[in-house]
Amino acid sequence: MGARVTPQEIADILKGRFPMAVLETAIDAKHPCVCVPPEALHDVAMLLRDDPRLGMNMLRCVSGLDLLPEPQIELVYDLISMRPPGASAATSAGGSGTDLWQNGGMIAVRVRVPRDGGHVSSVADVWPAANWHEREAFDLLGVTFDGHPDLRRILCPDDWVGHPLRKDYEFPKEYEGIPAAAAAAPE
Amino acid sequence: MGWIQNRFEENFIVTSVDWALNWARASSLWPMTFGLACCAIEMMAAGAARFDLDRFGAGAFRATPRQSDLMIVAGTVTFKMASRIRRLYNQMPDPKYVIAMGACTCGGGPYFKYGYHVVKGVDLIVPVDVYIPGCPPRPESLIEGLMRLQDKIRQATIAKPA
Amino acid sequence: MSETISVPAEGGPDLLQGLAIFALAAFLLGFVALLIGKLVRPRVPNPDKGAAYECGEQPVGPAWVQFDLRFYVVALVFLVFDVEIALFYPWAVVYGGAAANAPASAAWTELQHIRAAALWDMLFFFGVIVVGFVYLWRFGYLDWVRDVAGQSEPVTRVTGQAAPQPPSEPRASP
Repeated sequence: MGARVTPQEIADILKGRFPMAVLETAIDAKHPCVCVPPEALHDVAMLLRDDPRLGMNMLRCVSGLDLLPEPQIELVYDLISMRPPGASAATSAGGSGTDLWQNGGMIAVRVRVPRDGGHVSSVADVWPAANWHEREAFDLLGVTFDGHPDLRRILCPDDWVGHPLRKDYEFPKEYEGIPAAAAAAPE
Repeated sequence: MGWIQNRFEENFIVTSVDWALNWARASSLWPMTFGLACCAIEMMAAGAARFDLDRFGAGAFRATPRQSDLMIVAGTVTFKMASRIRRLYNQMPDPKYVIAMGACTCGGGPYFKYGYHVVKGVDLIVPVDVYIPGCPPRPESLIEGLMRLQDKIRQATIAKPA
Repeated sequence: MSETISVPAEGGPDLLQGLAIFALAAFLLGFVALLIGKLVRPRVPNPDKGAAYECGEQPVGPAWVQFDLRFYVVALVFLVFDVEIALFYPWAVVYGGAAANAPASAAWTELQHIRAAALWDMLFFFGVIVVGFVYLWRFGYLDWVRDVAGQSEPVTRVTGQAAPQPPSEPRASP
């Protein structure tokens, strides 16, 4: 466990291990990311977590983007490597003290799935935080996660129809007898 | 209704009984804790020391609908919560009153246009006696709403309608 | 004392009459309050008002829960030792009273002769109870949170299953 690993190093390690899996990288963007195809996501996730040089042990967030008019939904997995306090006594970055957790490097993994029937392998067994985040992505955007232990709606009621955060979502006229305001989909 | 409702013509005794009953009901409104969102914070502030609701007799917040006669719906009402609100309202014993506190319960509030999950006003679910606008209304507004409700209670009568 | 119960000289209620008035007032206090409520309150029947309360949800399952067995153990232990104390008390009064009053009266002097036997009898009784107490203490029945690490399995467990294990993490297979 050395100093903070840079996004370029992360991308190089990934390309070295899975040359076909890294579609493109955006290292100099505000949010450095690598793009992987959906079928390679689980292997890439395991590598990111288990490789000692990377050690991405914390999934901070799973976000979903509806890319209408492109018929695709993009999932963004925000990863960070948290080094325990006192792990690196000679941190070259000059951390504020060895009694705090240190940031060991950050990267985002982007996956594009088709809008209709898009499914991707669940990473809930790699990072437990993904459990509820993937349930939310399923509930609000309609992405199916294969192998998820408990894939059901988490925010909307269980008998809700549709996936609300899609750009072409139509608001319900009424629910269980209660009238909803007749607001059309927002412009 | 009860035995005494609509039985006697209006006279001095009936109005005195009216006064006594209404004084008792208005001076001991026990709210049910129904804070759903941010308005709950203002409701808690109104119940705390500075804006004391207890001096109106309404300081005994009950956690159960069985012992309360006022439901202050404070906060956004979602479709998921709507059935629970209705069931709890049904479980309250009569006479019962409802205060809709805050913009969300008055008509959907800031979620009126884009809130697919928000019920546009709690009066679509339960009958409301007093509406208190505000986002959130200050504790003084809640106290004013409570006093308006007390005025409404004082207008009730058991006399036979003319 | 020259008089036993003081009664008013002229008229006025005597003891029995006073008691009757008191009982009537007590009865009326509750009865009138309930009667006024019955006459005055509105009556709006609704099936939900009789349903069980479950924070707004449909009630699921029975409302009866099984009491924790430890309360029964506490009550049993208390009962045994309370009866023991109740039997100690008169013995202690007589035993101590015999020593203090022996020179004064003949009855006490007779008791003084059997002091030693009385003491050993009571110690025997106490010893039997102490054996039970040592059993409770040794096998952890006095601990509210039982330490199952080094003890033999207690036989009072209701269902006969082993001690509850901490839940294991759910591992999902890809």
